[in-house]
Amino acid sequence: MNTGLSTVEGDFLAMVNENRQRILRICRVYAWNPQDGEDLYQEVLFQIWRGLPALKEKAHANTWLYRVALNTAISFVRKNTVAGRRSVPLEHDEIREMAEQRQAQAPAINPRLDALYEAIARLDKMDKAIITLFLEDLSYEEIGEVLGLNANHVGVALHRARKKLSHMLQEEEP
Amino acid sequence: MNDEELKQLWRQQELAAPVAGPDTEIVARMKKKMRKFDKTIFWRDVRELAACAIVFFGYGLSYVRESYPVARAGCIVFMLSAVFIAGKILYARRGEKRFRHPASVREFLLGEVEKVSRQIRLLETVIWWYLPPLFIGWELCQWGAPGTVLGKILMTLFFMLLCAFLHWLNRYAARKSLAPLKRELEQTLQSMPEFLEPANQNKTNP
Repeated sequence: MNTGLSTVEGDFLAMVNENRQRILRICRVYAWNPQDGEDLYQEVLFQIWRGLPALKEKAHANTWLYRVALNTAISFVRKNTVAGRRSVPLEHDEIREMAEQRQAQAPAINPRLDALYEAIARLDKMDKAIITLFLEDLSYEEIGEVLGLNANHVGVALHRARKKLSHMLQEEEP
Repeated sequence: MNDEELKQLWRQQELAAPVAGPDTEIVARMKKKMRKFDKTIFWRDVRELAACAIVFFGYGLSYVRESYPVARAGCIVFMLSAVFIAGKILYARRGEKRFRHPASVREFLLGEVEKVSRQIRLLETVIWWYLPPLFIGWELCQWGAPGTVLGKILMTLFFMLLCAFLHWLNRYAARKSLAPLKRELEQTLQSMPEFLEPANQNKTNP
């Protein structure tokens, strides 16, 4: 019950409540330590809050949300890098080290999932975005809409990124 | 793991939200953040325009008090410079609004590249749009007013050195902090499949 809330506020809350897990998954891809994860999550919510009144076509709300989350995440990583902090590990050893730290802070529920996150972390920014959207089960057209590419380009890029990902996942397996 | 297993594994995750609380609390937090954001933007604009307004009114007062025609001309140049600089800053900021609601990640990245490029251009060209009007105004004011020639030459040299230092400082800031940022954004943009085709390689630099 959202009594006393305006339409925009109600829409915002409905969108956040409905998509919380999606937003959190994207935050986890782009922010590896819990503090950064929290900051990024707050920032994504704020960008949704700012952008929601300008969202004209409610039918595209799903792709709009992913676009806002990805733009915010890419911007967040860049700002942190400029400020000399790193929210996403870049080198393989660093990824391992940060993954171990993360496991110590929040024990893994599923080691396969951790391996998947580690493999995604080793992809470049665009492959990371394409793979994340693919895992979110978006169609080629929807991925294209979020990223600003046509479906053919998405197909080619996704094929390449999946190949890299499966190679990395094989490497991770004992 | 095949694609379907991967997707299933991905969507099965139950991640805990960092911020829990009643809906009204979340809305209140967003409103507070929005107020803070608006306040920051407002005061940034006020700071920049206030500096120009102080120069404008300060030299307007000098113009009224000054009796030497050349020095008065210098005051007018200063006042016009303040208006020109304020206009230039506001115009540059207006361009940022174009990409406020990007239609895709690609458009967002293009907007960021354009924003950073504009900032680099502004910093690298202070020698043309910021320093000369102030230098000319200053020179007219001091050469048009009474004083020793040696004193005026020394002040001119000092002001020239100051301009050179400010020019260097701005270029240094553009080179050290903004240029790497632009490179990084362009690399991200060029890693997008559409940009990998030769015909689109120059899309970031139209």
